[in-house]
Amino acid sequence: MKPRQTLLLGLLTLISAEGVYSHHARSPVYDASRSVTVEGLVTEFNFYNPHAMISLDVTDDTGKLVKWSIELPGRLNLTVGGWTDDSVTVGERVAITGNPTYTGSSGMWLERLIRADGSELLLPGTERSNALEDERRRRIEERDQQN
Amino acid sequence: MRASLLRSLTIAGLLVVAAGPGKAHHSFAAIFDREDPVNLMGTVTKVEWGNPHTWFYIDVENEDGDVENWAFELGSSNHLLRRGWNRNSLQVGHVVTVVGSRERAGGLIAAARTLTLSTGESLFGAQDESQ
Amino acid sequence: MTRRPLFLSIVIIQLPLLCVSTLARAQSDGSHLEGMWSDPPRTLADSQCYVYCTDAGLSRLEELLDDPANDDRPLNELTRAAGGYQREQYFRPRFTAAALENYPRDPADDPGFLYCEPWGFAKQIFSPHQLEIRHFDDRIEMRYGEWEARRTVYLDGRAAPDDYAPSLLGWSVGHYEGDTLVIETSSVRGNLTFMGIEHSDQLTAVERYTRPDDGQRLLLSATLDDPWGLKQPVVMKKVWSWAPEQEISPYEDCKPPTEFSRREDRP
Repeated sequence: MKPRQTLLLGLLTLISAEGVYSHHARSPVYDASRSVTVEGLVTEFNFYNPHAMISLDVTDDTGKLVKWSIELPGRLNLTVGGWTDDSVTVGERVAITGNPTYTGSSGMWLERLIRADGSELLLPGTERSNALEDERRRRIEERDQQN
Repeated sequence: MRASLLRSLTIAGLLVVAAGPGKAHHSFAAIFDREDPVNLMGTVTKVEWGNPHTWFYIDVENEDGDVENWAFELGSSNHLLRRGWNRNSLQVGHVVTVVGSRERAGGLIAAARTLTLSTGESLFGAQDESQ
Repeated sequence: MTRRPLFLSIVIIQLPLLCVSTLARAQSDGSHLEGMWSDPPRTLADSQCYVYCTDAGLSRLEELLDDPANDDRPLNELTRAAGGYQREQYFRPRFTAAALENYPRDPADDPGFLYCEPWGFAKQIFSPHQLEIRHFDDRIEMRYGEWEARRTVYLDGRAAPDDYAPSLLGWSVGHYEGDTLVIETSSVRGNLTFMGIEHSDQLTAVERYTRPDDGQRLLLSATLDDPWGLKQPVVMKKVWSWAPEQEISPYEDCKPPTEFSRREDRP
Protein backbone atom coordinates (compact mmCIF):
# COMPACT_ATOMS: atom_id res chain seq x y z
CA MET A 1 0.00 0.00 0.00
CA LYS A 2 1.19 3.44 -0.80
CA PRO A 3 2.22 5.16 2.42
CA ARG A 4 -0.25 7.70 3.61
CA GLN A 5 0.92 11.20 3.11
CA THR A 6 1.21 14.22 5.21
CA LEU A 7 -1.43 14.04 7.75
CA LEU A 8 -1.20 17.39 9.36
CA LEU A 9 -1.81 19.22 6.21
CA GLY A 10 -5.34 20.29 6.88
CA LEU A 11 -4.27 21.70 10.19
CA LEU A 12 -1.47 23.63 8.60
CA THR A 13 -3.88 25.10 6.15
CA LEU A 14 -6.27 25.92 8.95
CA ILE A 15 -3.77 27.83 10.99
CA SER A 16 -3.13 30.42 8.38
CA ALA A 17 -4.44 33.64 9.83
CA GLU A 18 -5.83 34.43 6.43
CA GLY A 19 -9.19 32.77 6.26
CA VAL A 20 -9.16 29.75 8.46
CA TYR A 21 -11.45 27.44 6.54
CA SER A 22 -10.52 28.73 3.12
CA HIS A 23 -9.96 26.21 0.35
CA HIS A 24 -7.02 28.24 -0.81
CA ALA A 25 -4.66 28.22 2.11
CA ARG A 26 -1.02 27.27 1.88
CA SER A 27 0.30 23.77 2.28
CA PRO A 28 3.78 22.25 2.00
CA VAL A 29 2.42 19.25 0.09
CA TYR A 30 -0.51 20.30 -2.07
CA ASP A 31 -0.59 23.17 -4.52
CA ALA A 32 -3.67 25.18 -3.55
CA SER A 33 -3.39 27.31 -6.68
CA ARG A 34 -4.26 24.34 -8.90
CA SER A 35 -7.14 21.88 -9.07
CA VAL A 36 -7.43 18.56 -10.87
CA THR A 37 -10.37 16.19 -11.24
CA VAL A 38 -10.23 12.41 -11.38
CA GLU A 39 -13.00 9.84 -11.56
CA GLY A 40 -12.80 6.27 -10.38
CA LEU A 41 -13.79 3.51 -8.01
CA VAL A 42 -13.25 3.82 -4.28
CA THR A 43 -11.04 0.99 -3.01
CA GLU A 44 -10.60 2.26 0.54
CA PHE A 45 -12.03 4.89 2.88
CA ASN A 46 -10.09 5.41 6.08
CA PHE A 47 -12.13 7.52 8.49
CA TYR A 48 -9.16 8.39 10.69
CA ASN A 49 -7.46 11.20 12.59
CA PRO A 50 -5.80 13.48 12.00
CA HIS A 51 -6.79 13.09 8.33
CA ALA A 52 -9.06 10.77 6.42
CA MET A 53 -8.03 9.12 3.16
CA ILE A 54 -9.82 7.86 0.09
CA SER A 55 -8.00 5.44 -2.23
CA LEU A 56 -9.28 5.61 -5.77
CA ASP A 57 -8.65 3.36 -8.81
CA VAL A 58 -8.57 5.67 -11.82
CA THR A 59 -8.14 4.60 -15.44
CA ASP A 60 -6.17 7.29 -17.26
CA ASP A 61 -6.42 8.39 -20.89
CA THR A 62 -4.08 5.64 -22.06
CA GLY A 63 -6.13 2.95 -20.34
CA LYS A 64 -3.62 2.50 -17.56
CA LEU A 65 -4.84 2.00 -13.98
CA VAL A 66 -3.56 4.66 -11.57
CA LYS A 67 -4.10 4.43 -7.83
CA TRP A 68 -4.84 7.84 -6.32
CA SER A 69 -4.59 8.76 -2.66
CA ILE A 70 -6.97 11.54 -1.75
CA GLU A 71 -6.51 13.18 1.60
CA LEU A 72 -9.28 15.02 3.40
CA PRO A 73 -10.07 16.45 6.84
CA GLY A 74 -9.96 13.95 9.69
CA ARG A 75 -12.75 12.24 11.54
CA LEU A 76 -12.66 14.86 14.31
CA ASN A 77 -13.55 17.45 11.69
CA LEU A 78 -15.84 15.41 9.40
CA THR A 79 -18.08 14.25 12.25
CA VAL A 80 -18.97 17.88 12.86
CA GLY A 81 -20.54 17.82 9.39
CA GLY A 82 -22.34 14.55 10.07
CA TRP A 83 -19.97 12.24 8.18
CA THR A 84 -19.62 8.63 9.32
CA ASP A 85 -17.30 5.81 8.33
CA ASP A 86 -19.71 4.82 5.58
CA SER A 87 -20.20 8.25 4.05
CA VAL A 88 -17.97 6.93 1.27
CA THR A 89 -18.27 3.24 0.42
CA VAL A 90 -15.81 0.88 -1.18
CA GLY A 91 -16.83 0.12 -4.76
CA GLU A 92 -18.73 3.34 -5.40
CA ARG A 93 -17.83 5.53 -8.35
CA VAL A 94 -16.97 9.13 -7.52
CA ALA A 95 -15.52 12.18 -9.20
CA ILE A 96 -13.08 14.05 -7.01
CA THR A 97 -11.63 17.51 -7.50
CA GLY A 98 -8.70 18.57 -5.40
CA ASN A 99 -5.33 20.28 -5.08
CA PRO A 100 -2.55 18.12 -6.59
CA THR A 101 0.82 17.54 -4.96
CA TYR A 102 3.70 19.81 -5.91
CA THR A 103 5.66 16.75 -7.04
CA GLY A 104 3.02 15.51 -9.44
CA SER A 105 2.53 12.21 -7.58
CA SER A 106 -0.96 10.73 -7.77
CA GLY A 107 -2.19 12.37 -4.58
CA MET A 108 -4.42 15.34 -3.86
CA TRP A 109 -6.19 17.26 -1.12
CA LEU A 110 -9.94 16.90 -1.57
CA GLU A 111 -12.00 19.94 -2.51
CA ARG A 112 -15.17 18.41 -3.94
CA LEU A 113 -16.64 14.93 -4.14
CA ILE A 114 -19.47 14.14 -6.59
CA ARG A 115 -21.22 10.77 -6.40
CA ALA A 116 -22.32 8.73 -9.40
CA ASP A 117 -25.89 10.07 -9.05
CA GLY A 118 -24.61 13.63 -9.37
CA SER A 119 -25.08 14.57 -5.72
CA GLU A 120 -22.26 16.28 -3.87
CA LEU A 121 -20.95 15.07 -0.53
CA LEU A 122 -20.26 18.35 1.22
CA LEU A 123 -17.29 18.91 3.50
CA PRO A 124 -17.99 20.73 6.78
CA GLY A 125 -15.90 23.65 5.53
CA THR A 126 -18.01 23.95 2.38
CA GLU A 127 -21.23 23.97 4.39
CA ARG A 128 -19.80 26.71 6.60
CA SER A 129 -18.71 28.75 3.58
CA ASN A 130 -22.21 28.46 2.11
CA ALA A 131 -23.81 29.63 5.37
CA LEU A 132 -21.44 32.60 5.53
CA GLU A 133 -22.20 33.58 1.93
CA ASP A 134 -25.90 33.62 2.86
CA GLU A 135 -25.25 35.80 5.89
CA ARG A 136 -23.19 38.18 3.80
CA ARG A 137 -25.96 38.48 1.21
CA ARG A 138 -28.45 39.31 3.96
CA ARG A 139 -26.12 41.98 5.33
CA ILE A 140 -25.83 43.58 1.92
CA GLU A 141 -29.60 43.47 1.40
CA GLU A 142 -30.25 45.07 4.77
CA ARG A 143 -27.74 47.79 4.07
CA ASP A 144 -29.27 48.49 0.68
CA GLN A 145 -32.73 48.76 2.24
CA GLN A 146 -31.49 51.28 4.78
CA ASN A 147 -30.04 53.53 2.10
CA MET B 1 20.15 29.32 8.41
CA ARG B 2 19.54 30.97 11.75
CA ALA B 3 19.29 28.79 14.76
CA SER B 4 15.76 29.01 16.03
CA LEU B 5 14.77 29.29 19.62
CA LEU B 6 12.74 26.15 19.26
CA ARG B 7 15.68 24.18 18.01
CA SER B 8 17.96 25.40 20.76
CA LEU B 9 15.29 24.75 23.35
CA THR B 10 14.72 21.27 22.03
CA ILE B 11 18.41 20.54 22.24
CA ALA B 12 18.52 21.92 25.77
CA GLY B 13 15.58 19.69 26.63
CA LEU B 14 17.37 16.65 25.30
CA LEU B 15 20.43 17.48 27.35
CA VAL B 16 18.36 17.74 30.49
CA VAL B 17 16.87 14.34 29.88
CA ALA B 18 20.25 12.90 28.97
CA ALA B 19 21.63 14.07 32.30
CA GLY B 20 19.52 11.35 33.79
CA PRO B 21 16.64 11.13 36.17
CA GLY B 22 17.51 12.05 39.71
CA LYS B 23 19.90 14.77 38.69
CA ALA B 24 17.85 16.71 36.23
CA HIS B 25 14.68 18.32 37.37
CA HIS B 26 11.74 17.25 35.29
CA SER B 27 8.03 17.04 35.38
CA PHE B 28 7.74 13.35 36.14
CA ALA B 29 9.77 13.39 39.34
CA ALA B 30 8.19 16.65 40.40
CA ILE B 31 4.73 15.13 40.32
CA PHE B 32 5.31 11.43 41.02
CA ASP B 33 7.38 9.99 43.83
CA ARG B 34 9.52 6.98 42.97
CA GLU B 35 9.99 6.46 46.71
CA ASP B 36 6.23 5.92 47.06
CA PRO B 37 5.58 2.85 44.92
CA VAL B 38 2.13 1.35 44.45
CA ASN B 39 1.26 -2.19 43.48
CA LEU B 40 -2.49 -2.52 42.98
CA MET B 41 -4.86 -5.00 41.43
CA GLY B 42 -8.23 -3.92 40.14
CA THR B 43 -10.77 -3.83 37.36
CA VAL B 44 -10.40 -1.30 34.56
CA THR B 45 -13.29 1.20 34.57
CA LYS B 46 -12.11 3.63 31.90
CA VAL B 47 -9.30 4.05 29.37
CA GLU B 48 -8.53 7.38 27.74
CA TRP B 49 -5.92 7.47 25.04
CA GLY B 50 -4.26 10.80 24.56
CA ASN B 51 -1.38 13.22 24.48
CA PRO B 52 0.91 13.91 26.14
CA HIS B 53 -0.43 11.13 28.37
CA THR B 54 -2.88 8.27 28.21
CA TRP B 55 -4.88 7.55 31.38
CA PHE B 56 -6.73 4.56 32.71
CA TYR B 57 -8.77 4.01 35.86
CA ILE B 58 -9.22 0.91 37.98
CA ASP B 59 -11.52 0.04 40.87
CA VAL B 60 -9.44 -1.28 43.74
CA GLU B 61 -10.75 -2.73 46.97
CA ASN B 62 -8.86 -1.25 49.92
CA GLU B 63 -8.08 -2.80 53.30
CA ASP B 64 -11.42 -1.65 54.71
CA GLY B 65 -13.30 -3.34 51.90
CA ASP B 66 -14.19 -0.05 50.24
CA VAL B 67 -13.76 0.38 46.51
CA GLU B 68 -11.48 3.19 45.43
CA ASN B 69 -11.07 4.40 41.86
CA TRP B 70 -7.40 4.96 41.03
CA ALA B 71 -6.19 6.97 38.04
CA PHE B 72 -2.98 5.89 36.31
CA GLU B 73 -0.95 7.94 33.90
CA LEU B 74 0.78 6.30 30.94
CA GLY B 75 2.96 7.62 28.13
CA SER B 76 1.53 9.38 25.08
CA SER B 77 -0.60 7.38 22.67
CA ASN B 78 2.12 7.71 20.01
CA HIS B 79 4.67 6.35 22.42
CA LEU B 80 2.50 3.46 23.60
CA LEU B 81 1.70 2.39 20.04
CA ARG B 82 5.41 2.38 19.28
CA ARG B 83 5.95 0.19 22.33
CA GLY B 84 3.63 -2.45 21.00
CA TRP B 85 0.31 -1.40 22.47
CA ASN B 86 -2.85 -1.17 20.42
CA ARG B 87 -6.20 0.37 21.22
CA ASN B 88 -7.51 -2.96 22.49
CA SER B 89 -4.57 -3.76 24.73
CA LEU B 90 -6.39 -2.47 27.78
CA GLN B 91 -10.17 -2.54 27.96
CA VAL B 92 -12.88 -1.79 30.47
CA GLY B 93 -13.46 -4.90 32.55
CA HIS B 94 -9.90 -6.20 32.32
CA VAL B 95 -8.41 -7.17 35.66
CA VAL B 96 -4.89 -5.77 35.90
CA THR B 97 -2.07 -5.52 38.37
CA VAL B 98 -0.30 -2.19 38.14
CA VAL B 99 3.09 -1.21 39.49
CA GLY B 100 3.93 2.47 39.56
CA SER B 101 4.71 5.62 41.51
CA ARG B 102 2.10 7.57 43.42
CA GLU B 103 1.66 11.31 42.91
CA ARG B 104 3.34 13.47 45.54
CA ALA B 105 0.10 15.33 46.27
CA GLY B 106 -1.30 12.13 47.78
CA GLY B 107 -4.38 11.62 45.61
CA LEU B 108 -5.48 8.28 44.15
CA ILE B 109 -3.26 9.02 41.18
CA ALA B 110 -0.08 7.30 40.06
CA ALA B 111 2.18 6.84 37.08
CA ALA B 112 2.05 3.27 35.80
CA ARG B 113 5.37 1.59 35.11
CA THR B 114 4.14 -1.90 34.26
CA LEU B 115 0.75 -3.55 33.93
CA THR B 116 0.11 -7.26 34.08
CA LEU B 117 -3.14 -8.54 32.63
CA SER B 118 -4.98 -11.57 34.03
CA THR B 119 -3.69 -13.47 30.99
CA GLY B 120 -0.18 -12.91 32.32
CA GLU B 121 0.68 -10.53 29.49
CA SER B 122 2.79 -7.56 30.56
CA LEU B 123 2.60 -4.03 29.21
CA PHE B 124 5.00 -1.19 29.86
CA GLY B 125 3.73 2.22 30.87
CA ALA B 126 6.06 3.93 28.40
CA GLN B 127 6.21 7.09 30.43
CA ASP B 128 8.02 9.70 28.44
CA GLU B 129 9.66 11.59 31.23
CA SER B 130 10.60 14.50 29.01
CA GLN B 131 6.91 15.39 28.84
CA MET C 1 -33.51 47.45 11.37
CA THR C 2 -30.56 46.47 13.44
CA ARG C 3 -27.86 44.13 12.34
CA ARG C 4 -25.99 42.14 14.87
CA PRO C 5 -22.45 43.52 14.89
CA LEU C 6 -19.48 41.19 14.76
CA PHE C 7 -18.24 42.88 17.87
CA LEU C 8 -21.13 41.67 19.96
CA SER C 9 -19.43 38.43 20.83
CA ILE C 10 -16.51 40.31 22.27
CA VAL C 11 -18.68 42.65 24.30
CA ILE C 12 -20.35 39.65 25.83
CA ILE C 13 -17.05 38.26 26.97
CA GLN C 14 -16.62 41.30 29.17
CA LEU C 15 -20.08 41.30 30.66
CA PRO C 16 -19.66 38.59 33.28
CA LEU C 17 -16.62 40.41 34.59
CA LEU C 18 -18.66 43.55 35.13
CA CYS C 19 -21.31 41.54 36.90
CA VAL C 20 -18.73 40.16 39.30
CA SER C 21 -17.56 43.56 40.37
CA THR C 22 -20.96 45.17 40.64
CA LEU C 23 -23.16 42.40 41.94
CA ALA C 24 -20.66 40.25 43.82
CA ARG C 25 -22.23 37.11 42.51
CA ALA C 26 -21.78 33.78 44.18
CA GLN C 27 -18.85 31.71 43.03
CA SER C 28 -19.74 29.23 40.35
CA ASP C 29 -19.22 25.51 40.82
CA GLY C 30 -18.21 25.37 37.17
CA SER C 31 -20.92 22.92 36.18
CA HIS C 32 -22.27 25.36 33.59
CA LEU C 33 -19.11 24.89 31.49
CA GLU C 34 -19.06 21.12 31.74
CA GLY C 35 -19.64 18.97 28.67
CA MET C 36 -18.69 18.77 25.01
CA TRP C 37 -17.99 21.79 22.82
CA SER C 38 -16.99 21.97 19.18
CA ASP C 39 -16.76 24.18 16.07
CA PRO C 40 -18.37 27.63 16.41
CA PRO C 41 -21.76 28.60 14.96
CA ARG C 42 -21.74 29.16 11.20
CA THR C 43 -21.80 32.94 11.42
CA LEU C 44 -19.33 35.44 10.00
CA ALA C 45 -18.10 36.63 13.38
CA ASP C 46 -17.86 33.27 15.09
CA SER C 47 -16.28 31.62 12.06
CA GLN C 48 -13.52 34.20 12.13
CA CYS C 49 -12.79 32.80 15.62
CA TYR C 50 -12.78 29.18 14.39
CA VAL C 51 -9.14 28.85 15.47
CA TYR C 52 -8.53 32.22 17.09
CA CYS C 53 -9.37 35.84 16.47
CA THR C 54 -8.56 39.28 17.79
CA ASP C 55 -10.68 42.39 18.25
CA ALA C 56 -8.49 44.10 15.65
CA GLY C 57 -9.15 41.43 13.04
CA LEU C 58 -12.88 41.29 13.76
CA SER C 59 -13.37 45.03 13.52
CA ARG C 60 -11.39 45.07 10.28
CA LEU C 61 -13.64 42.39 8.81
CA GLU C 62 -16.66 44.40 9.91
CA GLU C 63 -15.34 47.46 8.07
CA LEU C 64 -14.62 45.47 4.92
CA LEU C 65 -18.10 43.93 4.92
CA ASP C 66 -19.74 47.32 5.48
CA ASP C 67 -18.00 48.93 2.53
CA PRO C 68 -20.19 48.60 -0.60
CA ALA C 69 -17.02 48.79 -2.71
CA ASN C 70 -16.23 45.25 -1.49
CA ASP C 71 -19.60 43.72 -2.31
CA ASP C 72 -18.31 42.01 -5.45
CA ARG C 73 -15.14 40.65 -3.87
CA PRO C 74 -15.13 36.98 -2.81
CA LEU C 75 -15.74 36.51 0.90
CA ASN C 76 -12.53 34.61 1.48
CA GLU C 77 -10.62 37.53 0.02
CA LEU C 78 -12.13 39.73 2.74
CA THR C 79 -11.50 37.28 5.58
CA ARG C 80 -7.95 36.92 4.34
CA ALA C 81 -7.54 40.69 4.20
CA ALA C 82 -8.82 40.96 7.78
CA GLY C 83 -6.34 38.26 8.78
CA GLY C 84 -3.53 40.13 7.08
CA TYR C 85 -4.52 43.32 8.87
CA GLN C 86 -4.55 41.48 12.18
CA ARG C 87 -1.10 40.06 11.49
CA GLU C 88 0.50 43.33 10.42
CA GLN C 89 -1.32 45.84 12.63
CA TYR C 90 -1.93 43.82 15.77
CA PHE C 91 0.60 41.02 16.08
CA ARG C 92 3.73 42.16 14.28
CA PRO C 93 4.24 45.39 16.30
CA ARG C 94 4.10 43.30 19.47
CA PHE C 95 6.83 40.85 18.44
CA THR C 96 10.37 41.32 19.76
CA ALA C 97 13.37 41.45 17.45
CA ALA C 98 14.32 37.99 18.69
CA ALA C 99 10.97 36.55 17.68
CA LEU C 100 11.04 38.31 14.31
CA GLU C 101 14.38 36.71 13.40
CA ASN C 102 12.63 33.51 12.44
CA TYR C 103 9.29 34.94 11.31
CA PRO C 104 7.11 33.89 9.64
CA ARG C 105 8.00 30.27 10.14
CA ASP C 106 7.57 27.91 7.24
CA PRO C 107 4.75 25.47 8.07
CA ALA C 108 7.02 22.80 6.61
CA ASP C 109 9.25 23.29 9.68
CA ASP C 110 6.44 22.52 12.11
CA PRO C 111 7.44 19.47 14.21
CA GLY C 112 3.76 18.52 14.31
CA PHE C 113 3.84 18.19 10.54
CA LEU C 114 7.34 16.77 10.18
CA TYR C 115 7.42 14.37 13.11
CA CYS C 116 3.84 14.11 14.37
CA GLU C 117 4.79 15.81 17.62
CA PRO C 118 1.69 16.86 19.55
CA TRP C 119 1.08 20.58 19.84
CA GLY C 120 2.22 22.58 22.82
CA PHE C 121 -0.02 24.65 25.06
CA ALA C 122 0.02 27.84 22.98
CA LYS C 123 -1.52 26.05 20.00
CA GLN C 124 -3.50 23.37 21.78
CA ILE C 125 -5.81 25.78 23.61
CA PHE C 126 -6.93 27.19 20.24
CA SER C 127 -7.19 23.84 18.47
CA PRO C 128 -10.28 23.42 16.30
CA HIS C 129 -13.10 20.93 16.92
CA GLN C 130 -13.90 19.12 20.17
CA LEU C 131 -13.19 20.40 23.66
CA GLU C 132 -14.58 18.45 26.59
CA ILE C 133 -14.58 20.07 30.02
CA ARG C 134 -14.97 17.90 33.11
CA HIS C 135 -15.12 19.03 36.70
CA PHE C 136 -13.82 17.38 39.84
CA ASP C 137 -13.58 18.75 43.36
CA ASP C 138 -9.98 19.79 43.10
CA ARG C 139 -9.37 19.96 39.33
CA ILE C 140 -10.75 20.39 35.86
CA GLU C 141 -9.85 18.12 32.99
CA MET C 142 -9.91 19.55 29.49
CA ARG C 143 -9.77 17.10 26.60
CA TYR C 144 -9.29 18.20 23.02
CA GLY C 145 -10.19 16.30 19.84
CA GLU C 146 -7.00 17.57 18.24
CA TRP C 147 -4.19 15.23 19.30
CA GLU C 148 -6.60 13.70 21.84
CA ALA C 149 -4.85 16.09 24.17
CA ARG C 150 -5.70 16.37 27.83
CA ARG C 151 -4.89 19.07 30.38
CA THR C 152 -5.32 19.17 34.11
CA VAL C 153 -6.20 22.47 35.73
CA TYR C 154 -5.88 22.45 39.51
CA LEU C 155 -8.60 24.31 41.38
CA ASP C 156 -7.04 24.00 44.83
CA GLY C 157 -4.45 26.62 44.07
CA ARG C 158 -1.51 24.27 44.35
CA ALA C 159 1.68 25.73 42.98
CA ALA C 160 3.89 23.81 40.60
CA PRO C 161 6.45 21.73 42.51
CA ASP C 162 9.77 23.56 42.90
CA ASP C 163 11.52 21.18 40.55
CA TYR C 164 8.78 21.14 37.90
CA ALA C 165 10.42 21.54 34.50
CA PRO C 166 8.64 23.27 31.62
CA SER C 167 6.37 20.76 29.92
CA LEU C 168 4.32 20.45 26.75
CA LEU C 169 1.08 21.80 28.23
CA GLY C 170 2.54 23.61 31.24
CA TRP C 171 1.24 23.94 34.78
CA SER C 172 -2.28 25.33 35.11
CA VAL C 173 -4.28 26.52 38.10
CA GLY C 174 -7.83 27.82 37.86
CA HIS C 175 -10.47 29.68 39.85
CA TYR C 176 -13.85 31.25 39.25
CA GLU C 177 -14.73 34.91 39.12
CA GLY C 178 -18.49 34.68 39.14
CA ASP C 179 -19.30 32.43 36.22
CA THR C 180 -15.98 33.05 34.49
CA LEU C 181 -13.40 30.29 34.68
CA VAL C 182 -9.95 31.87 34.95
CA ILE C 183 -6.93 29.65 34.26
CA GLU C 184 -3.35 30.76 34.78
CA THR C 185 -0.61 28.78 33.09
CA SER C 186 3.17 28.85 33.24
CA SER C 187 6.09 26.37 32.92
CA VAL C 188 5.34 25.72 29.26
CA ARG C 189 8.28 24.39 27.28
CA GLY C 190 9.35 26.69 24.42
CA ASN C 191 7.30 25.85 21.33
CA LEU C 192 5.24 27.23 18.45
CA THR C 193 2.33 29.65 18.53
CA PHE C 194 -0.43 30.32 16.02
CA MET C 195 0.94 33.84 15.58
CA GLY C 196 3.80 32.57 13.43
CA ILE C 197 6.45 33.12 16.12
CA GLU C 198 7.87 30.79 18.71
CA HIS C 199 7.59 31.35 22.45
CA SER C 200 10.04 30.69 25.27
CA ASP C 201 9.49 28.80 28.52
CA GLN C 202 8.84 32.20 30.11
CA LEU C 203 5.38 32.22 28.49
CA THR C 204 2.49 33.00 30.81
CA ALA C 205 -1.16 32.84 29.90
CA VAL C 206 -4.44 33.82 31.49
CA GLU C 207 -7.47 32.14 29.91
CA ARG C 208 -11.01 33.33 30.67
CA TYR C 209 -13.89 31.03 29.73
CA THR C 210 -17.50 32.18 29.73
CA ARG C 211 -20.80 30.75 28.55
CA PRO C 212 -22.96 33.74 27.64
CA ASP C 213 -26.35 34.26 26.01
CA ASP C 214 -28.48 31.17 25.73
CA GLY C 215 -25.67 28.84 26.70
CA GLN C 216 -25.00 27.65 23.19
CA ARG C 217 -21.50 29.13 22.96
CA LEU C 218 -18.30 28.94 24.94
CA LEU C 219 -15.99 31.94 24.64
CA LEU C 220 -12.30 32.13 25.41
CA SER C 221 -10.31 35.29 25.86
CA ALA C 222 -6.65 34.42 26.39
CA THR C 223 -3.92 36.89 27.31
CA LEU C 224 -0.49 35.59 26.39
CA ASP C 225 2.77 37.16 27.48
CA ASP C 226 6.37 36.15 26.91
CA PRO C 227 9.34 38.43 27.63
CA TRP C 228 11.36 36.65 24.95
CA GLY C 229 8.88 36.88 22.08
CA LEU C 230 6.42 39.68 22.93
CA LYS C 231 6.99 43.35 23.70
CA GLN C 232 3.53 43.48 25.25
CA PRO C 233 0.83 40.88 25.89
CA VAL C 234 -1.51 39.77 23.12
CA VAL C 235 -5.18 38.92 23.54
CA MET C 236 -6.46 36.04 21.42
CA LYS C 237 -10.08 34.90 21.42
CA LYS C 238 -11.98 31.82 20.37
CA VAL C 239 -15.55 30.52 20.13
CA TRP C 240 -16.99 26.99 20.47
CA SER C 241 -20.57 25.67 20.14
CA TRP C 242 -22.36 23.40 22.58
CA ALA C 243 -22.06 19.95 20.95
CA PRO C 244 -23.26 17.21 23.35
CA GLU C 245 -23.68 14.74 20.47
CA GLN C 246 -20.00 14.78 19.59
CA GLU C 247 -17.20 12.66 20.96
CA ILE C 248 -13.45 12.58 20.91
CA SER C 249 -12.30 9.98 18.40
CA PRO C 250 -9.05 8.00 18.31
CA TYR C 251 -6.09 10.00 17.07
CA GLU C 252 -3.57 7.41 16.03
CA ASP C 253 -2.98 7.67 12.32
CA CYS C 254 -0.54 10.54 12.24
CA LYS C 255 2.36 9.69 9.98
CA PRO C 256 5.20 11.98 8.96
CA PRO C 257 4.94 13.30 5.40
CA THR C 258 6.46 11.29 2.59
CA GLU C 259 6.78 14.35 0.35
CA PHE C 260 6.61 18.09 0.84
CA SER C 261 8.24 21.23 -0.42
CA ARG C 262 9.73 24.08 1.53
CA ARG C 263 8.39 27.58 1.09
CA GLU C 264 11.31 28.84 -0.97
CA ASP C 265 10.85 25.95 -3.39
CA ARG C 266 7.16 26.49 -3.95
CA PRO C 267 5.85 28.56 -6.85
